[in-house]
Amino acid sequence: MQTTVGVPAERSGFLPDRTVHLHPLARCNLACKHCYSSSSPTANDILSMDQLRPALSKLRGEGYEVLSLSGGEPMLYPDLADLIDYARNLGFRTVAITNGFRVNQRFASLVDRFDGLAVSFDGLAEVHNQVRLNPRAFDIAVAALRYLVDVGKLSAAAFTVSRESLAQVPDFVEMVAEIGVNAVQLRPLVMAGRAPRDYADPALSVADLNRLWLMGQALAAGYAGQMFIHTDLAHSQLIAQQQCAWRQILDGSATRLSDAVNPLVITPQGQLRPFTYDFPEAYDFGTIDDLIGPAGSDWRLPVGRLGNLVRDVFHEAANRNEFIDWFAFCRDVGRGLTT
Amino acid sequence: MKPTSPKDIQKALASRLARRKISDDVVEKISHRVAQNGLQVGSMNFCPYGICIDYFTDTKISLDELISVEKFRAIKMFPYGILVDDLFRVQVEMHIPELAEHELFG
Repeated sequence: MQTTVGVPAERSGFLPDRTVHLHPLARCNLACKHCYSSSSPTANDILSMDQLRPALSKLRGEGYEVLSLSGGEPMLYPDLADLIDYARNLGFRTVAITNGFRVNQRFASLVDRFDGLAVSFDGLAEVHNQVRLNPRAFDIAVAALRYLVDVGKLSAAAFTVSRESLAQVPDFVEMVAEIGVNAVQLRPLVMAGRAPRDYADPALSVADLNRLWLMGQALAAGYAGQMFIHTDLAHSQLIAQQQCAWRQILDGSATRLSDAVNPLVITPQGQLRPFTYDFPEAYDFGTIDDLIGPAGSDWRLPVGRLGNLVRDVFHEAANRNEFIDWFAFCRDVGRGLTT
Repeated sequence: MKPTSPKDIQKALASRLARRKISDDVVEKISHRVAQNGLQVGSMNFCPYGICIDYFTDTKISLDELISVEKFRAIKMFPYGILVDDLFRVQVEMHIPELAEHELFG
């Protein structure tokens, strides 16, 4: 990002772009066993465009560059075309993560509006369908990837890695490489939402995380130049050396929301939350309605409390010798769960 | 017969890891070693000792520490190139019997 010609914006956290993770609705056509947002066909929470328009304008002014939609299933949002058009006109790059059920020719006008789409997976066919509680889910997700490649859309496969699916990662990566997908994201299963109740046994152990990280390195090298592969893990000691990426929140010099909170999560209830959907609600710092209220009336940059947490997280990471999912680690420190 | 490329070997390594043909202890040893010192992994391959890992680094690293502490079987370090003359490639070869003694593919 360039704030002034020739002057790159200072890094804000570990993400390459300043990102809003917007969950515009909680409804989903699926009710996956591990869903971190407990989405389902009966979930009703939804944000209106009357709420979202001024909030997005405000957030663009706060330095955010990417609008990343999730849910619920974002392709079910009734005003999706308006939402994407509005965000793009503000200058946001727009992406989404979807289960793929509405990524096909029938919804071409919606798909076409995005800069890129990621389709989520939980394993090869048998595991994926069991987790999704739908026997067609895998075939539909694969068809969605093929469609994205066929129409030339930037495409990614987001693979949630569990003990059930860990051994399937290389075959999955080979499959999507043959389809021609641009990128694969390997995401360790997180214990949030429905997962602790319905899908806790497949959680990855410390040894599994070591293995996944090394597999990710080998696969990234094996597919270099063909497909980008990213594993959401980093060694705690390396993370501890990267505090400079969080300078503005650690020293209190952040002046815009995106300097302090990246990514920003907006829940289907409109809560403003740092980093992850399942972050402790105690760190919520308002609602999108507060964003557009009278200046200074309802929300403030959450620099102090969040800065203290980030400081604690780095301290904790420096004392560890293991691979961690940074944002899940932040959440656990915020919850006081680390031991 | 199609020759085996370095990328094929890296994919085979991933498959062997996925199928748990390499023990947790060995994986822990390799992964922690690879992740330390802030070195960027360039590639991983099989080698006569088991596994070799290419690092890229533009920072000073301590060869004494690598040799004395890590007990690698071999370390090779050389400038990466004239255009990037402060970037170094470091290849370390680790003794992993599970990988060294048998066929490469998983």
